Amino acid sequence: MELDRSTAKDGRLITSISIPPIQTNPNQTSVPSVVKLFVLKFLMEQFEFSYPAKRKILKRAHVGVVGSGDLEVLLEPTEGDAASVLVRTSVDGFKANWKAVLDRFFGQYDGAVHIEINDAGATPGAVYLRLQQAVEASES
Amino acid sequence: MSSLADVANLSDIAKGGVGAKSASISTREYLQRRSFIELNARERAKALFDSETARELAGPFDRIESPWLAIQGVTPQADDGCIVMRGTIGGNQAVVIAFNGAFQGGGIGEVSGAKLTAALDLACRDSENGKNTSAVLLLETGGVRLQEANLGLAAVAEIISSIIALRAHAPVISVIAGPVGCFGGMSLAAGVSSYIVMTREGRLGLNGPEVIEEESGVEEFDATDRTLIWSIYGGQQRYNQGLIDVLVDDDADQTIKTVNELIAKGVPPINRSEQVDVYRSRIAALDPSTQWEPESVRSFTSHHK
Repeated sequence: MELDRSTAKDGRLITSISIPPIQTNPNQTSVPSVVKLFVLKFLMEQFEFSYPAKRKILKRAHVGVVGSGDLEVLLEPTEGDAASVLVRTSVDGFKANWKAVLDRFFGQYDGAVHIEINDAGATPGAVYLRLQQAVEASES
Repeated sequence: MSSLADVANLSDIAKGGVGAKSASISTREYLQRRSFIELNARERAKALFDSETARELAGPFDRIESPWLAIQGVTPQADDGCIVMRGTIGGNQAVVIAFNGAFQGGGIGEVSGAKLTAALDLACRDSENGKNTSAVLLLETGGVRLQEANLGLAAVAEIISSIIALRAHAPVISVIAGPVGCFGGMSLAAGVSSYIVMTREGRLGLNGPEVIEEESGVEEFDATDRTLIWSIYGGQQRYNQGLIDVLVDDDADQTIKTVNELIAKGVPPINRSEQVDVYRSRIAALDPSTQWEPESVRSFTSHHK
């Protein structure tokens, strides 16, 4: 059995489970080799943002914890002249706030990185501090 | 159980409560020492190893996260709250598995449980091949993660059997340092380990205070009464009961030294969980018709060693 996950346009998670059928007759080839079940679930909100970048970053960094009011940041160097951010948060309805914090952060930071944020309800101030901490860790 | 604030000889436990100064050292020494509890889980794990020997396995960038949390609206963590590191401690091969009490209360899920079991099994395999590898578990956990209940329970069963397999070759040391403590199924895992190390701030028990209050009422257990909680579950009480091996201050250097000494000491002649007759005789001598207080439990266990 295999689990495949993808995200629909509206942000919902699609989990497809591939279950190989029980082979009763090995000569019978007309049975499809895999039965696909699609499960649609509401997931916490997920956003992607991208920003221009100039500077090459050498080291990855991991800071924070997905604890109440806190978040985890994974920062990894990428090739090219863009930075991307993936945010997953358990608190819905704050996309504009995320954009405002990230706009401000990337107004001062020009590293070519991919950032993943796993959030458990951190305040904008805590988000900004964790991002700065990740930058510090990646440049120390 | 009644409030225990009036029990005079428990005042040292109250003093040794969270954030309070241990009675045994001066304020100056207290301020100068490096707290173990204040380190995060990854720093705690790393601190135990000989310098520059720690190497993290299945770390956050490997992104082995729980597949069950997102579909329940809970944000997963890239390392599933379980940190596995390999290296040497006092020149001996060792693996350290640290739980992050801030993520899901350090709860054991399918992935974090599998990481712990796999680490223990690899240590066991190396030990069987002549390269004795000790394991140190830094337990900050409320037990099984409710969102992954059945898989977490299955994981605890596997963890326990893996500890029992490894402890025949090399010591398995459980360290319960922080106030999250070690509860539920993971208290059983701690119970089968070769040695248990605690601080006064740590807690160890099967059912936590909230669970008992929920099940039996506030008259039975007031889960807001911190003195009561630590006088039952706290490191000092567990040490006096003979249920743990070493009581340390919240001091990184002292904890590191203790772990080094226990690894050097090797496998104990008899494990605590093998002393079935001792514990059976204790249970047989217990009179459940009277109300047991932490104080009476202490003197009872000291008379039934």
